[in-house]
Amino acid sequence: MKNILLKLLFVITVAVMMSSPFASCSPAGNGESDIVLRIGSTKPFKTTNKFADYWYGVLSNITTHDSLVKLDSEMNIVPWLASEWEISEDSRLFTFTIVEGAEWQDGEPLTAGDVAFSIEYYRDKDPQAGWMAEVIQSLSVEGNEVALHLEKPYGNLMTEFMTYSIIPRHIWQNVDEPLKYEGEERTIGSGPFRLVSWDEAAGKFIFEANEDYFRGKPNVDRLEVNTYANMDALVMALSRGDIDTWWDYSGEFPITHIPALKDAGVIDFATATFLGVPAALGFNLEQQPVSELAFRQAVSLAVNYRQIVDIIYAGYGIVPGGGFVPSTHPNYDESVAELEYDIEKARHLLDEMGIVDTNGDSLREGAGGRNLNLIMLTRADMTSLLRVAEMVAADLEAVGIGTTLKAVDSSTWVAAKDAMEYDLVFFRATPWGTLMHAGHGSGYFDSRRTGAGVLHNLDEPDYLESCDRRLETAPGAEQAELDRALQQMHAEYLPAIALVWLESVYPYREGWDNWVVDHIYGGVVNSFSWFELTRAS
Amino acid sequence: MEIHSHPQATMAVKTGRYMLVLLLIITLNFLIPRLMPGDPLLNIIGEEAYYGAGGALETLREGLGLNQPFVLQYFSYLGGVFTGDWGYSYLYMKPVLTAVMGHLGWSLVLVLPAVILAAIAGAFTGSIAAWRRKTGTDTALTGSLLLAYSMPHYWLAMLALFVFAFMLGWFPLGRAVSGGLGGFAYFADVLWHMVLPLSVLTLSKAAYDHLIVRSSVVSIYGEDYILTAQSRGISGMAVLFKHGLRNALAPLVTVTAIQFGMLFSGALMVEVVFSWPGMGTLIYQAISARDYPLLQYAFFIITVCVLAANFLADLVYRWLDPRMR
Repeated sequence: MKNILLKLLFVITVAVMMSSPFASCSPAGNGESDIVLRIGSTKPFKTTNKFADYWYGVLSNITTHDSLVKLDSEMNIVPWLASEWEISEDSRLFTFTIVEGAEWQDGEPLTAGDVAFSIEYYRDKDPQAGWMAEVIQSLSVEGNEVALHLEKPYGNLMTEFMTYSIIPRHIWQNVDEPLKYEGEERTIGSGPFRLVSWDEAAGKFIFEANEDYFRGKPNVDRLEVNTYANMDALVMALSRGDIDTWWDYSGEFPITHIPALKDAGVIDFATATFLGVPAALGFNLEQQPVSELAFRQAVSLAVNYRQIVDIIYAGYGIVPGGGFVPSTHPNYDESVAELEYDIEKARHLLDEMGIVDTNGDSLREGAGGRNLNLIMLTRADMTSLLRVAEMVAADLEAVGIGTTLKAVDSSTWVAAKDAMEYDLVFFRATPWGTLMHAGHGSGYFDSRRTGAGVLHNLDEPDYLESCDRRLETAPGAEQAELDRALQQMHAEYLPAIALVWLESVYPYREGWDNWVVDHIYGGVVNSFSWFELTRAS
Repeated sequence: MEIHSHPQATMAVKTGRYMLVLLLIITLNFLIPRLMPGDPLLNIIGEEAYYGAGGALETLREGLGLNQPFVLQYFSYLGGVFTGDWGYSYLYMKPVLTAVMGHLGWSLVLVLPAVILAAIAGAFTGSIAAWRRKTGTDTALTGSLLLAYSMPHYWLAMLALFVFAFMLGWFPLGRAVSGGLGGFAYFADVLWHMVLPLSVLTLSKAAYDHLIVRSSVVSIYGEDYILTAQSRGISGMAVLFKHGLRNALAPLVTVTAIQFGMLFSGALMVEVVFSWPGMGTLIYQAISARDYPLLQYAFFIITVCVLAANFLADLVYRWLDPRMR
């Protein structure tokens, strides 16, 4: 027994001594002078098929693959695989000129035919691109130009194409079921990096720079993406130097971890106003008394926004406005007022509606003389949102509105939300989510919309008409006017209220300069940073 | 009239009972995921596409066999149990068997040694504490292990990660391997990654085993056969381990059998803290995504493990206690 234990101890000691150096040394590139960037993420990657794994699909969009256009840090649409484009006056013909010199990572040239094939492939094989079948009437290729003839004008087309990467026809043309495709060449794209390996047990991707990239070789020679199952381990890895920065598509870095990183003394932070809304409160407009505008106004007046900013988001944010989306959005309407916190006004509005406390138990009674007890639906897996919901419940109780908080997993949340089994619903609007449909968060509220966490709760005719007009209008003065009109209507009808506008923080290790912030693709890790980033001397 | 049952007949009855329980549980494994709210297709194609997909949705449902009547799905599942054709995981987009085996191996590597080491350590410290009950040794051993037992696994795991990986830098901050290694270096690397999660799991389980064994040994302390052994001049330790522990082992066997049953699901929180790619993580993700095929067969494996461990415990009882034969 003693011998066995001694042998076991010996093996473990040898193992530790043998393997410790593997972790403590800096990951080496192919050469000593290689610039290696190590990124940490908590995303649950499962496969390197971009069609089958949502998170890998997003990662591939900024590494191995390219889209026609991208949104820069000023929210301008800028050329990428499309060097230029032309939109006809009636907004029904979009012509893209494909850049010269782009090629696939297996050496094949990237042509306008690949672009047309990709759009058709998404339309026919990818359920997420169902909108294409409704919008795109036909495609034609001439030389290095691809023309899209639309059934009807579609003002959001350019933004949509930012998220669909172009795939090689010679690889995918014989693949009928992209979700199940396991061929090794599935990772080949035209992007600035090529995938070298994915080790599931190690949770590690290794990418190397594409020397032949049409925009030139990226400034980073080798990219490592290390995954962690929890944020605490990732933050420790960042402090310890195992990774250089953090990546989460559309995510906000958890504010609670910032003090620890500041204490480490080797972390710098990039900041930008978050394009989405990290915590919002939606209303069930089919349910009394929430369907009454005055009641929704009373709720909006009862919420202590400053307290939410200070306590839940540690001051990294501002009190939101009534237009729902923050100032990062193009055509932001500054005339829409900031949401107000005024308990007395809230009480007054409720009193005027006849919702009063008659039995002296400090809770107001609703129909039938029973205490108001609003069902508040939220997601248990989003801890910040859960804390916000608890604070809002306390705020509402202060004005006499009773609530019951239902915190459930995401699938149950979706089912309950779509069945309208709530009075108030807490949700998170992602950056991309606020851009979809007619933009400025309208995709969440238009009653004809469904899916993607949307509330589809507002059916005011003028609102729906504005959405339709905005969808049919090409970028320009008229579109800007409609953008502002939508924000004003959000403040007027209150289908939902933002509870905070966040100042996002993106941490990275000292020694890196010139990061570019991308509002869509996750802070400092994006297609623009690859060409600006430098290693400090 | 005294009825003497034949040992083989008893085993046959027990085996039959186990088979019945197995059938009942695998039926529940089929039903429970389907009773949860939410459509699995929603997680496959995303909510945006779910509502906009129209006919494509039905095609997808058909392709995955989700459009079949409930009863047909059940018999197809039962057939899969026996033929090994476990279907396709919507979440991992690969055959269920491949997805499960990838995680099962890592669970076995971590939890199997933890349960065995914990049982050995718990038996040893529990016996010592019982033998020296109400002394400083007992107080120190039982007190410290009670403290370990009262700490939630994930908290203990987080503490270990913080101190030994982050502060001291002795161990990695998670995962099962570093990647890019082969041969002995790979083996050593796995061991290095295992040290912290294995220690935490072993400590948590050993603490419980210790309490069980201590209590059990104390209860047989005044038995005649112990006193007889002592009166024959046999040394204290020999009495403890030769006569006392063997007779007090039955509860530990039960606990260990249950721990084996929890082999693949019980380590979830420790897996999450150490980013260990085991079955707990797989099951958690499968529940979130409503991945029916993955869930029902992952549960099936747990069911088989629980029943097999209990069956094994029955056999060990009979070996330990002649009265059971």
